[in-house]
Amino acid sequence: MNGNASPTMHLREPASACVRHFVLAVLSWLGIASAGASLGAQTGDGKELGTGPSRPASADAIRAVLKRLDDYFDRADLAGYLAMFDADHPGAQAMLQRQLQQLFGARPPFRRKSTLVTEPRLVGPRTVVRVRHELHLAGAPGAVGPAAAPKTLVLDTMLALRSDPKGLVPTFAVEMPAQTACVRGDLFHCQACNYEIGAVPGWLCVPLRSDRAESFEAASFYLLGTDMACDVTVHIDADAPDALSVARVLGETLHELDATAQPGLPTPWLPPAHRGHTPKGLAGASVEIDLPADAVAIGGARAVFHVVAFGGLQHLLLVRGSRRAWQQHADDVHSLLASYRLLESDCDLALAAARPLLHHTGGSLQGSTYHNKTFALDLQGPATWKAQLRCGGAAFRVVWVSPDGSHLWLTGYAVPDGVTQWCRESADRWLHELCTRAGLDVRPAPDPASGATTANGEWCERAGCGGQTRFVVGTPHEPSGPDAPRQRFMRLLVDDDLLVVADGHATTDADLQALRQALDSLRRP
Amino acid sequence: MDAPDRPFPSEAEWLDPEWIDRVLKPGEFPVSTDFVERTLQAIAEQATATALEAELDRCLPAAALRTFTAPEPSADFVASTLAMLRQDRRARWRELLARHVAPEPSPQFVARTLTALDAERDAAAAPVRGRQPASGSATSGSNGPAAMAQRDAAGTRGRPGRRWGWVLLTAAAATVLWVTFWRAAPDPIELRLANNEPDTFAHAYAASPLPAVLATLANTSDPYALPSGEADGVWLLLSHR
Repeated sequence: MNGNASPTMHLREPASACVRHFVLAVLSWLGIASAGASLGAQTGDGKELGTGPSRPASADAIRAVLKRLDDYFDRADLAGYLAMFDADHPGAQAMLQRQLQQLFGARPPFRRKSTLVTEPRLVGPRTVVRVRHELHLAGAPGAVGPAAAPKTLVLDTMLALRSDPKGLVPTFAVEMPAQTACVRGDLFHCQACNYEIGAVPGWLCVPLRSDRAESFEAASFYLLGTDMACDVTVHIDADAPDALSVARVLGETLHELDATAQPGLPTPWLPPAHRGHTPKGLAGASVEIDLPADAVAIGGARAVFHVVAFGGLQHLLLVRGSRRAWQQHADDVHSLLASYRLLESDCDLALAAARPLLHHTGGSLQGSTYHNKTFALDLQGPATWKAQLRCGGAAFRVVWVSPDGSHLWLTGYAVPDGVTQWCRESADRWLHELCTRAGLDVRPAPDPASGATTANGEWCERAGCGGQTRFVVGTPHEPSGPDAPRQRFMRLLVDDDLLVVADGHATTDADLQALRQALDSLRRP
Repeated sequence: MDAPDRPFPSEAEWLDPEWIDRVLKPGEFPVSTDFVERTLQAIAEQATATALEAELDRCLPAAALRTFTAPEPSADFVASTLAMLRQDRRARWRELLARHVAPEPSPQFVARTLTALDAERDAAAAPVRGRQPASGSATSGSNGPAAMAQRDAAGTRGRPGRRWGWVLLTAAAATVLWVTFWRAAPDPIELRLANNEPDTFAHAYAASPLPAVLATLANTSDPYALPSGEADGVWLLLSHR
């Protein structure tokens, strides 16, 4: 599969929706607008939270649904698979389709077996259950090496189903991580990140995998039976910008990514739990974003970014849904936002920002030296350079910046879900992808310790470093600006559980010397 | 200002340049003392700008510019230009909205406007009524709305197939329009953002728009760093095969 190719996909509408549109169009044309509106209201995309069932569906009935879904999966029948759903949330359904398309591209194809991980329970009008899918991939015919070995991929999803007189209808399936340390029921509670939210009737909490979330911690709350959702994530910014600026930048970035998204003016906002007695250092803001290209049939959609800044620690809450659902479920949204609160409001702001990084990445700075206890890794950064811990999708990232503008980045990539361990081949493949995205050509470089280039720039073992290492030099295809680095020095360190990329550039000879020493100091004792 | 008792000006009065002098009392609405000066200054500034443009044209004549081959626009030229225009317009509106609060129309204003509209409508309707022949005449009977309704009713009673013909024709027209203009529902924002992300990265499969925003923010704040996102495991697994 070519990873660079991004297939164009369109959300498929079920046949019933097409017929509905046609009937509505004819009724409108004949002037029977009220009848059309009435029909649209009953069967439109913004669903109603009617009186739900009193008991969840049985596990056996759900297993039967899973069996049918597995059959469609094994036949790579995308249309049949999706047709079993009556989607509550168009976005979640579209992303399910995107993931299935990727999985269906495997040759030989995956075969899937799904099992229930939890007992079925009721959330709002839906039965909810956590499902584990084991995807088995046979070895590639005629292949040698790793490709010849069969693979098993484990994916967990949260599945919601509606009980109809004719049977169970899946309405929602969203991927979730196998480990969910911070979720208790539908309450998201993280002591290190200093907040909790959830446990509100009707709202289902689905934690996100950190690699998917671009953050070490995130979750989405879905108001089941509607298209309302609230994404929650944690972000750390050592510069501690004010909440209004963060909200403005978030809105502008969303517009940059999707020109139809129209952000408004950011306004001050505080979480309801802290309005009466706002903790010192806590500030908040929100910005509303008009989404006219979404939920077009029912009047468009809107999203609201809520930012809670507590020094450099930021909690971001993105509430989104169709305008109609916003109107119908304003109280539900308010209840969810009201459930958000800081766990500890009387603490040092610097500590509040450092604690999540230490807890989730395992890393900390001691002077200019970075130490990661989770991965048993050290790198001694240049003494006079300013060091900063960052958060993102990677396992960890640290940046050192010299007074003259030289940089050193240290990034740790955990083993991606779906593969069992890093190896030299997968590390090279990922490095190639990273450098392609950054517009860099890569060539082997000499080992600073020995001064010699390994044969063909291959991986080698260095005493006391752990894993296998490799030095390369990256040069940009074309400089993107006067300040753009012209040469990047990289060192890779790969072990079963981690790929480390340390790379940097220097603007002076002294910085270059310091950079080389720092790269040389990377080790996993 | 007192509540006005003058009738709202008609269209003809608006077009009469001397009407205002006849209606207003002398000194009732004095023109500001520097009005003429400001107007002349604005005209002079406009003239200066025009002269500057002409001067620029002499320095770099259009004929000289035409000798150059126009460069090929980049693939995203139109999209980026439109995005910049929209951003500029939005910024200007924000500035304006931040400074001004639109006043509510006063009840007197609304009442005056409605009264004037009624008066104008009555004035327009009066001549038409005056031209109508007496009720019951042959002309009136053949052209009046009531007569047309009676005629249509008689016609449809006489030919019931015509009604179904109209219904079928309307349905056919609706079908043609529906087939012509109907489009598939646009992709949801989650998918629109995901489609912009490289599908080699794990966050390109997130069921939330937030990761794409965070990835862009990370790239913007540290543009020369390698991407901090994790590899998508399925991509990495399948890329080895």
